[in-house]
Amino acid sequence: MAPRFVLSRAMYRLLLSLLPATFRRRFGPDMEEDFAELMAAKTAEQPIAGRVRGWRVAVADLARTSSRERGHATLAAIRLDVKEAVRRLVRTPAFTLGVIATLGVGLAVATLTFAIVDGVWLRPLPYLDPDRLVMVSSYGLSTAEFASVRAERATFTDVTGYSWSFAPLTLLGDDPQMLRQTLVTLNFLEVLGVRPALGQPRFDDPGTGDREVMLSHRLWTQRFGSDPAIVGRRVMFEDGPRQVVGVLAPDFFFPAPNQILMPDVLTVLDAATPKPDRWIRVIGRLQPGVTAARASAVVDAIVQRPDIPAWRLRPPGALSVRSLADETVGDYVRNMMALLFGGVAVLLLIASLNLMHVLVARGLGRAREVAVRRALGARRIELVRLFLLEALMLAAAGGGVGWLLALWAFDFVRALVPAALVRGTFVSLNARVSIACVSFALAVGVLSGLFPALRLSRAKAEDLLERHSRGVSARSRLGKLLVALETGLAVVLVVGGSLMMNSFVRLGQVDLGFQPDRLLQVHLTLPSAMSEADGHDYVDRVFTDVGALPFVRDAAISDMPLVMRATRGEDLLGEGSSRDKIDVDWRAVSPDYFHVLGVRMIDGREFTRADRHAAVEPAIVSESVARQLWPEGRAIGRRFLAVAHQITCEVIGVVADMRSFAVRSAPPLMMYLSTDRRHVSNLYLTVRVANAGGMEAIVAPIRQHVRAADPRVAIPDVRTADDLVGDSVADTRMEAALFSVFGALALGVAMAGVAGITAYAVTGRTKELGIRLALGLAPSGIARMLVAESLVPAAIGTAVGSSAALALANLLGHLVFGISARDPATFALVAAGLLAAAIVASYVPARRASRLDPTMALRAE
Amino acid sequence: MPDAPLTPAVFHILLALADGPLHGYAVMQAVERTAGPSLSSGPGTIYGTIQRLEDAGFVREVPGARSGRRRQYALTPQGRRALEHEARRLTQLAKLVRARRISPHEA
Repeated sequence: MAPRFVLSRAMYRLLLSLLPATFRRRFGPDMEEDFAELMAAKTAEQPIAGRVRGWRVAVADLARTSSRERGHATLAAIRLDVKEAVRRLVRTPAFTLGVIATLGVGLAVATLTFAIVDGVWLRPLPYLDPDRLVMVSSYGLSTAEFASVRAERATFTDVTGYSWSFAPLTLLGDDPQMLRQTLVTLNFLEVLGVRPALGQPRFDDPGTGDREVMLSHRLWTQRFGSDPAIVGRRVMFEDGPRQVVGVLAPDFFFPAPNQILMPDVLTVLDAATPKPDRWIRVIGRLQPGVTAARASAVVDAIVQRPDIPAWRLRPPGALSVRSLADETVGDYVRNMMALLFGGVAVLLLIASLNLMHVLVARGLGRAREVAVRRALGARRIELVRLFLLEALMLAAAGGGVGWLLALWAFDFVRALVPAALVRGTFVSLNARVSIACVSFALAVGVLSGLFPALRLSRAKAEDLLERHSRGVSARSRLGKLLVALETGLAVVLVVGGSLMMNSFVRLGQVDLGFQPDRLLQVHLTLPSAMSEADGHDYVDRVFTDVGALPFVRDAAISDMPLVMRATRGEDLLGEGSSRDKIDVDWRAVSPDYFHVLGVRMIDGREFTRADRHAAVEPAIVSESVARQLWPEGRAIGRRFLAVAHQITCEVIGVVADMRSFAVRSAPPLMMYLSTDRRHVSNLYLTVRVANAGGMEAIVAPIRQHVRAADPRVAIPDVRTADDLVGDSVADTRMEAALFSVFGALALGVAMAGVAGITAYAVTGRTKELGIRLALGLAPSGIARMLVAESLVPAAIGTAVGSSAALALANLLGHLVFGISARDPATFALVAAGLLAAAIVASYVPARRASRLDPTMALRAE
Repeated sequence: MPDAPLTPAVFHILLALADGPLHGYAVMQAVERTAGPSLSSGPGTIYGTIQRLEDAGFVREVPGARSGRRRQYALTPQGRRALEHEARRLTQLAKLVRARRISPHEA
């Protein structure tokens, strides 16, 4: 077997030193083998969680064994060591509190970041045996293909499928509610291995009795008052009654949170009447021993069979089978999470290096004591333990402070997690996160304490006789190395923070094409039974009522939200245009829409009431569409064919481009048609409020008027435009906020480190500096010399850090906006900033050193 | 020691070695199988107990016979006697329990 767990084994071997020598000599090698076997067993299924579990077992076992085998004598010795370490730490309160505070902040940031990464990415899906669940990515299959995949019993133990219904379903009653419905096969929950909160996990076969539904937990609690007898009851939807067969568990979020499940894919499927235009997202549970790659090949073979009707809108060769966990997270988010994790690792490394130096500096002052102890027969391991204990206690205290800070700041950080992250709801400070916090603290303690402990425990009597001389040169070498390392690592984080911050600021400055301030969007769904004419009457009434409300300046409607998630394609063929056809998105809007949104009218006019009866369909196009179709001359009065609508339209207006998808994507090419001329049942009422204070006050009266005009109308949500825009930049906001904190902390800690290292290097050289002063070197010359000595390693660190950041730029490539991840100006500024900071950080102690009195200095030991 | 009841850990280790020599990790796995996760421990705990059983003369290291690089351990005749003794004691107890109809699982 190839050597595995090399690093873990090395750490374990180190921990074995906790055991008495005789025991260790006899059983140590076997224990190490056992440990490797244990880790292999634990990580076979879950690489990360298994590792944590394996270590937990191993450490608990070692602690137990060590105390049992050593007996009380050693325990008492350790207790003495702890006491002494505490006494030493208490004697230097400024040092101790400073270190604990710094570590506390660092560990709090690390813990909170881990909470996000864990909730969104690392945590296994809350399903039975989630490693065996796979999903056909990233397109659906036709019903016929699905049936064939389901027959592959050698590959899948079971297969299920779902499809989104784009038409939300309205639940009737006193307060009609629009619900997101997911259509699933009968065995959907069974395949995932999820139990519902109430009822059965499986739908009954269709064709017998009522149609069925499983309610979301939220719907059940809010709408039905958590009625325990809900199962078996009939509930009225706009398309007829359905029998409730179950209530989903509160944390069931797949494929969407707060959905209702309908067994409708299966009425199509199980009746074995494949329809070529239906498509299904497919989830399978793999047979033991079958890999996702093998399943991929099986699915591939099926979709290539000519006798099975394929889903016709799927590009060829677009399918693969991926683990469900990967599929629900997505590459973009995984990349983001990996970066955050990397950032935390670098931050903790800087903190550890810094603490390491501080501990070395502190410990060197005790070289004499160590030498005496050794001469008196203290074993090296006891001395290592003594020094390591100090580091571990500092780290533990830092971890405690960090955990408290994390608790305090959690709500703030939780709010940073983008709502669009499906698993964002799982971000919490749970047991896993607290274990991570403890592990981080332990890692910092060991990383920073081990080197000083090993080094200082070596001190011998000869070192004392040589009066630190060897210590001084070695210590300045170590100091320079640490300055370079800390600066380099800080550069990486500061560059990352600057780039993300820059991206976020740029996103905020983007010209959206509309004015989001004081804009409110009220989502309405009209009952499907309402005729087109009644719908128009209803909208007119709402306009009149809402328009009369105080605070309301203007109102308009559209059939799409301000910030869209999905595209609706349309092809335009321009009359007299040299262009072939252009691919656009479209939405229906009411008169005044652009005025309400604050979109610039470039040419022509908006829709008016009179357009309702125009002979030719009037249309408004965005600036880019007009330019592409008719690059020369005016677009107004021109006609085009909207291919999917099969209508000829006449351009009556041209408006500025709008960023109507996420802010980071370019403005789409848009065509606008009039809501007055079509049946629209999904409406977004957009209201411009006269002053910002009215935003809150206006919501209740609007709801009231909307419902008073027709009680069957549902209001799924009310959002401000600022919120909608904010949602679409939320991922960048989180990255920017966290990386800025990483960067700022890294900078602060690293520069405190540079200052400390310089100050410390100076103390060992008092005599030398005295001689230089006595020989006539000006104090300013001394300061300059000392700063220059720190600056060289800082410059090297900056150069290495910049190169590292350049090499890592690809990772940031997808996340930055409006700036290159290799932006030269950012790199130059950060490098210059860090060098300047290093100069300041080393100048303060250097200046103090240059004020030496040469006669005193020469007398120094 | 022979008359005193064995601790569960000791009993399960002796039981594990009843079928033949094993190395430490295999003993640990066997204990986990027979005793369930409640007694699950770790390498150090197992070796500590093995060492004490060696001192008591119940277990000995098999010289030369190594599985991979690991040491193997076997029951001594005395260890086998202790195991049998304990088994008898437990059977006796079970009988007592059954006679009083305390156990819910017995017919």
